[in-house]
Parts: sequence; C-alpha cells; structure tokens
Amino acid sequence: MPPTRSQLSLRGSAQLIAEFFEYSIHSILYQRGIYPVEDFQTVRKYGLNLLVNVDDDVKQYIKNIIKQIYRWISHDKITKLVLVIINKDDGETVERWQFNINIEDSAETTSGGDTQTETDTAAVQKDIQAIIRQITASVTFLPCLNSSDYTFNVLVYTDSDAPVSKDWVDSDAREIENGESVRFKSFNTNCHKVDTLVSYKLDQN
Amino acid sequence: MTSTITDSPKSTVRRTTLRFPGSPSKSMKRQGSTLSLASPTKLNVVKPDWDHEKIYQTLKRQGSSSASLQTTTDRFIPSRYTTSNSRVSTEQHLPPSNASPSEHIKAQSQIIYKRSVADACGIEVGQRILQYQPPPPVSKSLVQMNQSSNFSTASAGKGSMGLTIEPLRSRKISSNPERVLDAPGLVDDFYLNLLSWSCENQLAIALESSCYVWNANTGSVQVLSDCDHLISSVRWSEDGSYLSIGKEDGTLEIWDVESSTRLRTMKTHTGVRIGSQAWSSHLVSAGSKSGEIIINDVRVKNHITNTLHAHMGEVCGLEYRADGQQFASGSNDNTVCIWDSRSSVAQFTKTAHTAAVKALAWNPEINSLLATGGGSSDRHIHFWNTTTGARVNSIDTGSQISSLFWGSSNSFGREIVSTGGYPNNSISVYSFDHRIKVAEIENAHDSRIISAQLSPDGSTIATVGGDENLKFYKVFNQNKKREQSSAIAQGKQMSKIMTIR
Repeated sequence: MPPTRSQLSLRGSAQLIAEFFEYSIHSILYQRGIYPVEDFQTVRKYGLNLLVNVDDDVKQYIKNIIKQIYRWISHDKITKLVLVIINKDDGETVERWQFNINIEDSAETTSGGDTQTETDTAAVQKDIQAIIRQITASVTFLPCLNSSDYTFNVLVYTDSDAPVSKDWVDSDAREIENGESVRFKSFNTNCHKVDTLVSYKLDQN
Repeated sequence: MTSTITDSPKSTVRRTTLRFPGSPSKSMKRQGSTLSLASPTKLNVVKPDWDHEKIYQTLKRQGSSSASLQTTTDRFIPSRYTTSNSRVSTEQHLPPSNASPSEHIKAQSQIIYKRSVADACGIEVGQRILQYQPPPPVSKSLVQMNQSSNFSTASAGKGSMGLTIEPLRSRKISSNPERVLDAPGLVDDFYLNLLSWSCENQLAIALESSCYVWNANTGSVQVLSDCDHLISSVRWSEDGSYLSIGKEDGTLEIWDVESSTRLRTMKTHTGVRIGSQAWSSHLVSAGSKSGEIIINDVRVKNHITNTLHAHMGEVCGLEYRADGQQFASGSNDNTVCIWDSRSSVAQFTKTAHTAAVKALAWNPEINSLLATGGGSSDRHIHFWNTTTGARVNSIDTGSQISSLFWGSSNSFGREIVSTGGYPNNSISVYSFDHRIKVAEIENAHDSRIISAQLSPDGSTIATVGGDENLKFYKVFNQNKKREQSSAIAQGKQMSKIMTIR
C-alpha cells in the first residue's frame, strides 16, 4: 500500500487548514449572531451540518480573507489567525477567537517507520469535527450578545517578511482585558498543528 | 474607655509611616523582604541577561537561549509566553566560524540583548499583527432596528403587540400596477377630492363635469349626469348606495347609483366650491372653499343642520371616525381641527403642519388615533391622540402627501401608506411602530398623485395622478378580508334602516 496517499502534503495541509478556518468563521458568525439566522444555510461538511452565510457580500468577504491566509499558510508566514468580535459603538473587543498555527516538523523527521502516527485525512476530519462541535457548544458558556450591536474583524500574526496586500494593515493585538479564555481541542496534519482558543469578556454582574 | 485611649496613638503612628513611604523604616524593609517578587528592584528583567557571566553561561550551554529567556517572567504579564509563541527572526548575522572568540561572543550577546529588550517591551521580533481592513458587509436582508430605545419598548410589549425581536425583513410589494385606467380631463387640483371607493366595490371618479362609476367587481362603467358645473368632490355614503357630488357652484347632489337618478340637490349659501365631503349615516359634511364646514341632513327639508366656522382657508380634507363620534377636518390654512360630532366648537385645533392638510386617516382599530399629512412644504405625517389632543408620532416623508390609509402586515404590524408628489410621485408604506419606510413604489405616476383611495378589502390602493391615469397597486395583504366582508354586511343592514324620503 502506498503510504504517500494518506499522507498530506504541505499544500494539501494548507488547503485543509484554510478550509477549516473558513467554516469556523462561518460557524462563529452564526453561533454568535453577527448575522441574522435567515442569511445562513446548512451545508454538510466534516460529517456535520454546518451553517454557511449565503449573503454574497459576506461570502466573498470571507473568501478574500481565506485566500490570502491560504497563501500565507502555504509559505509558512503565518502563526495566528484571530477573529475578534467587536462592539460597534465603542469598538471594544468582547470576544477573541484565536487559532494558533504551529509547524510540525517533528513528524517529518521521525516518520521513518510505518507504525508512526499517520495523520490521514479521515483522522484530521475527525479532529476538526470535534473542534467545530466545541465551537458550537461554546455558546452555552459565552456571554449573551445582542446581535445587532456587534461586528467582527480578522487579525493575523505573520512574519515580518510576509508579503502583504493593501487590504491588510498593521494592528494591535486587540486583547481582552481581564478576559477569561477557554482552550479547545487541537488538530494535527502532518505539517501543521492548529490550536483553538476563545477568550471572552466576563459579564460585569 | 482606656482601650480607646491606647489605640488612638498607635493608629496615628501607622498613618504617619504610610504617609511617607520614602522614609526607610524597619517594618517596611521587613515586609519588602517577605514579598521579594513584588519588590520593584526585581522588575529589571534585562539586567540578569545583560550580565556578562550569564552570557558566558548561555554560550557554554550551546545556544538554546530560549530556556534562559523563559525564566525572565514579568510580574504584570505572567502569561505572555502562553499567548504568543516566541518566534524570533531567523536572520542572524553570525560571524564566520573562523572568527575570533571575542567576535562570536559579541554577536551572541547582540542577539540575546535584542531578544530581551524586545521581550521586555512585549514585542515579538519578526512578527506583524495584521488586520483585514475592509469592514465586514452588513446583512442586506436585515432592516436595522437601530433606534434601540423605541424598539426595546415595543419588544417589551411583545405579546400584546404581536411583534418579534427577530430582525424584520423589508416588505416586498409589486411596483407594477395591477390595472391602469384612463382618466381624461381629470382636474389637476390638489384641493379637490375626485375619487371615492365604496364598500360595494364601486369606484367613483369625477372628470370635469361628469362622474364615472367603475364597478370593480364587473369592470363595467356607468356615467352619472352631465352637470353644468365642474365637479369638485365625490363621496360615497357609508353603505355604498348613494353618491354625493359636490360642485363648483356650492351645490351638493345626492345620487342613487343603481337607478342613475338624482335624488336631491342641496344648495349651500356660500356659493363656492365644495372640495371635500364626508358621510356619517344620514349626515353629509361638506367643506367649502371659504373655510366653512356645512353639515347637511339628507332626510329633512332644511338640510343644513350646522355650519362650522373654524378654518380660514379651503377645507380640503374631511373624515369621520368609524363610529361617527368625532371627525377631523384639514384645511389650506395649515390647521387640522378635531371635532366632536355633537358640538359646533372644535375640540382641538392643531397647527403643527406648515402646509395644507388634505390627507386624513383614522385608525380602524384604535378609535382615538388619527394620522394627518401635510402638503408640499410640510411633507410630514403627524399622528394624534384625539382624546387628549397629543401628538403621538411624526414621520418626514419628503414629499407632498395627498392621501393616507392605514393597513397592516404580519412583519410590521400597523402600517400607513401615503401617496406623494415631487420628487418621486411615489406610494410609500411606513411602519407605525418603527417609524420607518418599509416599502415604496417609486414613480407610480408620471406626475404627482392627486388623490387615492383604498379598496374596501384593504389590499389595493387606487391612485389618480396629474398624468390622467387611474392606477391600482396592491400594497397590503388581504388578511383582513373576513372583517371587511362583515363590515360590508353591516353596511347593508344599515342601508335598510337608512332611507331617504
């Protein structure tokens, strides 16, 4: 049996991660009510029913972000992707969904034997499924958001020498002061490891 | 007693020591030694790295300076390493391997120094945080309910008002007329009321000196009379069996439409045109150009029962409340009067409008709610509580308002449709509760809309414009059809009681 088939190439891994980000962003936008429920449609993905925004503008907006991020991942210029949920009135960050992207070079160097933990696509899908389930479940502990008052923004942590298009500008980290954070499961392709965590502002009362 | 005396000097001593923290006192020093981490001298993170001995040690341990860096935690930001993975730029200008040891040490210490300074400042070397600049698009399907105060009060009474917190979709109404009829010779005069739609589904329209009755059920047209004077207003009686025609010379004719016969001619003493009329069972109120409102009883010989003097200008709007207890009149003197039907003195005179008031609409469900719309220099709809005389709400429509009608939809509850003139000649539907425009038909006519009527089933609006067209637009759903049909049945019953001798 050819072991190369089940192994993910760097390109494939980047593709997979970019796709994961896209669905995660859609899921978060749905779960946190940034866009009205009517704008979303169910899509079957990762063995789950995921909700994807069907508004053309929103779809294109996310697609543009993901396209750029894919390029950065495949050239290994990105370390973090952050989705921040911002109050429209005062610009305050109320939630911060962070995805850390780590290079897994250890897998490459030690993959001499066949018994090595081969992370084939099916296993990765299973991990992703678990994370998306966790994102969905996170609604239970995250504070309530009054949907119409919030918007979102995407931040990325890149290397200083990463090529940047004019749509992206330097920003601060938009950290949440006195925030609580919850770490989710992580998943592993052969080339990358993605950690997910959400930090959120605690309710005042 | 004694204890308080001994306590007080102690406390003062304590206070003095606290007041001068700069003075070195023994107790302070002792405290400082126990809380070694909190001592400010330990904050100097750079110092231990900058120490030459330390550098030698790290070099001996063959690089991997990250271990030594990990120990330099910051008291204020203890979790920096957990949130950011400390990447350092790979571009290191190392001297060639055959360089002297001092050069190597210099290069290494440079790197370490750079890292520790960057870390102390909370900067990650070789990393940028980028933000996607274009703002996220706003959902198109959502009508932004940003007047939060108004909306929250509305949603508080959710159960009773039938409103939901869910974002509301904008209403969709067809911008194509269901039917277009020609109305040649229509007098293009804002102050006249040349259109009336009866509860029997017959539409009367006055074209110059003749009146046409179009049956909306069958589509047949009937011509009533050929008068010697121009017709200035037409109005169906409440039961839809009689039509009153007001003329330029101040006479009022009552017609039986079924037999096409004139039943009665009533002369008014003013001799000026009657621009508006309203029926309340057997009473016809006629608003004249001179500002009087003449109330005629069609059953008696001396038909004028009352003459109301309140307006200084032509009365162009006149409307009875459904129960006949009150009526409202609007005039070219920019005032609205609200009358008790029994009285000859106006209950309220409203001067909020700044142009002639032609459009008047009583809410069919709330007895005391009246909507009035002003002319071309006013452009506002005002809502009144006619019991207290208070203004409830206002909407700026941006164009002359020639008529107003109430309706409702599932998503917005109470709505009001207004027909306008310049600039769009549009038919606009507003939500009463949210005071927003929920639907609009732009350029419904090529010229301003002079007059409009709502169909008896409450779904279709008939508009007549200066372009001599009569157009029918469907603006509301027919969800109230049953109520309306029962009202028609009631009207039929009334017609039996109400007969003209």
